[in-house]
Amino acid sequence: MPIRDRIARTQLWKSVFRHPMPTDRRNRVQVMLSNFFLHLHPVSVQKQGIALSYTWCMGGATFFLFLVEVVTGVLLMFYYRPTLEHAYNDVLALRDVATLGVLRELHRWSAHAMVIAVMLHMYRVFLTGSYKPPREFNWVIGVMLLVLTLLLSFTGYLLPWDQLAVWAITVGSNMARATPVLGLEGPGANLLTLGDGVKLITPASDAKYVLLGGRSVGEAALNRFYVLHCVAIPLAASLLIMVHFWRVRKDGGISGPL
Amino acid sequence: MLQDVNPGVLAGLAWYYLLASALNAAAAAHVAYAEMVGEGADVAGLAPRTRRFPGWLGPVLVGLYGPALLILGLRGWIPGGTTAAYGLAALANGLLALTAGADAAHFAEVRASGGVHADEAHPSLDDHVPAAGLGGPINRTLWALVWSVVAVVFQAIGLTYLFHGPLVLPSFARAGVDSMAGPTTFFLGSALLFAATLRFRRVVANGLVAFGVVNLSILAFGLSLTDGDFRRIVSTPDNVPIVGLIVLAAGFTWLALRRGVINDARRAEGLPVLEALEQDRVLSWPDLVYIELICMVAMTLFLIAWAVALPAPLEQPAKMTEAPNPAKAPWYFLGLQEMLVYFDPWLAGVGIPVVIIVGLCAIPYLDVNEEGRGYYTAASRPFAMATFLFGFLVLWVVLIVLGTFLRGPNWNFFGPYERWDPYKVVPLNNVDLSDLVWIRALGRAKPSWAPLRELPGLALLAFYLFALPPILLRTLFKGYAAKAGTARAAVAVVLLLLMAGLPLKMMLRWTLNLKYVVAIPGFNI
Repeated sequence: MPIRDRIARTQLWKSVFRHPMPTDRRNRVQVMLSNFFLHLHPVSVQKQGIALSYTWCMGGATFFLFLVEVVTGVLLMFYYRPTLEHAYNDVLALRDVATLGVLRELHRWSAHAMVIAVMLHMYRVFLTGSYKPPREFNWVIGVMLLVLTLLLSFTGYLLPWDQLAVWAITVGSNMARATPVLGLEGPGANLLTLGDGVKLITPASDAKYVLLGGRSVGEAALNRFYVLHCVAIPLAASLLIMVHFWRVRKDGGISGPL
Repeated sequence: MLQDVNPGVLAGLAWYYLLASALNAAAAAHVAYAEMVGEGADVAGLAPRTRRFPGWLGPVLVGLYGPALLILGLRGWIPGGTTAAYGLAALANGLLALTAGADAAHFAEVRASGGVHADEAHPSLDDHVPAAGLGGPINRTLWALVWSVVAVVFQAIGLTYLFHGPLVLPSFARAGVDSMAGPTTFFLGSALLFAATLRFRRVVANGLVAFGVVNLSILAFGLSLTDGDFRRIVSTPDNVPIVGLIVLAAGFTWLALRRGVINDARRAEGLPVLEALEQDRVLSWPDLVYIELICMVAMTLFLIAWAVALPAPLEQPAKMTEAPNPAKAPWYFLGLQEMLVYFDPWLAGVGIPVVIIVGLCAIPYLDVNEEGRGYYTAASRPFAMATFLFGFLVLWVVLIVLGTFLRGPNWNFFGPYERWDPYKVVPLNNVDLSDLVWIRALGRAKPSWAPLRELPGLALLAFYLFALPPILLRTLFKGYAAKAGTARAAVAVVLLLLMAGLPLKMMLRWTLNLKYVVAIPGFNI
């Protein structure tokens, strides 16, 4: 008996995989049904639907880059401390002395690549008309995921705490100050005023303050962006990714001509 | 301008042209030997094996490129190794190009004698090309020769750089480009290029035309790299992804247009679209799972190479008292930052993003066209295509490129070869619509009461947002309104007008120096 089959008959193998190697049709169906990670996929797919010339593989690439971000991000979190005292020096050390400091490069370039991939995925979905019924709402979820991707990248941009980071976030967060009604310099900022002239929108309560946790980019902003970047937005994105994938299946799989 | 190029740059350019040459040699070989199956020719039985790749060529190429890579990897231990590797690879490029060209020339004789060409039962791929809607049959001999000559020329340029030849972009060309470049010409030029691409997509979809454009771009980019200022801005680590975005967006647009052109031609003849040719279902294991695995491995390798080759940027520690000039947002927001030139922050930073997100979400509910689901097409959904592509390619990608590469200190415009001079003075003489109406047209002082003073702008705005949509719904969008229902159509038209507001305001700025249509502090539009 070949060694491969011998392994496939051990109790250990069976306890993990439940069935023999996926070498025949029956087991190839089995593997898709019984493996948690594979059961995202249908058992069979349209051959043209998975062609690279059709999908450009951009949705899958986006998800893969998200996973790369999670793995490298968690590893970087072991090293990096989000305080004014340590943040910059930790990143500096990642560049100069830390073993596997290249993880930061991986993390940053994968983030850029993910932004590009998610845009191109949306572009492909539009070009093939894949948002048309019954997939309308999954497109909407996709738009939300695009926004979350941009926010993930934006919040991460601040963490190295160098000139590039701080001023990019300053430029970005200055926009919040111009939010209509809720921003100090936005139109209608005086609308939220209590009877005798008590303004509700002040430099210490407007939209920019909420975003930064202070009047300008400082320690509170660093903490806020760190938590958003490492916990809040990834959780929200994970949830929406699950819904997105689930709905791809429920809406009939990868689109194709009728 | 030789001070711009140091030995490191020359070596880099030599390798750049080596790769360009390899690409063209491969293209020549592709035209000469490959059976093209991309357009569904294989499924339709239209792609016979017309020419044979010479058996001796494969091992020879491996024998040249392989040692070249090996020597390159061990260059630290082999003196002069880099040059030797370059020579081997260049030799392989030339060999491939010349063989492909010669074989294609030989094929012309075979063809003239009626030897291998198509018959009724086995039409060749050349006969498939016009059937696919891409114009007349291509002259394979000619094009294989053209690309092999281009490969040899690129290789010659590369060798010139290797031996430190001073081949740089002439200064009059740089001065000419810089003097012509400006936000107006750049944006309008891009918009015109976009419109022409869409209009003449049948020409653009032709692989030979597209490859010609690629070659011209390679040459233009290579020559531009000899300019220090251009190199500085393009090779800034955080800008490298945008170079990638340009290439990917252009490439995918081309792929989609090409398939759209072919599908449209097929539909016109009553043939099924390419995506409908393959009706088979396959098991996810192995067909899908393996594609995913291969993609993951390829991307991992790519990311590791990128991470090792290019250090992530890290500037001086943050100093809240010292603003860099220019202070730029992350690259994907630079289109919005560019909008700050034309709009106040409450519109550029809040209003426009909200409209973009809402508009994107609304697309599936506004597009009631049942055509074009699940296949690439252009002709059966022209309006949706033109609108979305304009939004993505011109209003998003082009403005990001403008904001990243061409906006320098004080957000002034700088040509691609222009030094970023923080003291560059650009005269600003923008006027409000109220100035134009009251002072220039009516020749009197502006009223002091703001609502009266801004009456022209408010009236224009009211007309644009409230009177124009009903008019459009009864005229231009009549058919759409009948199909989609009035409410849906009204939302679509208003969103469309909001989107059109961007280029309109830009054009008003360029033509009339218009600053604000409505100038009420806090509510400037």
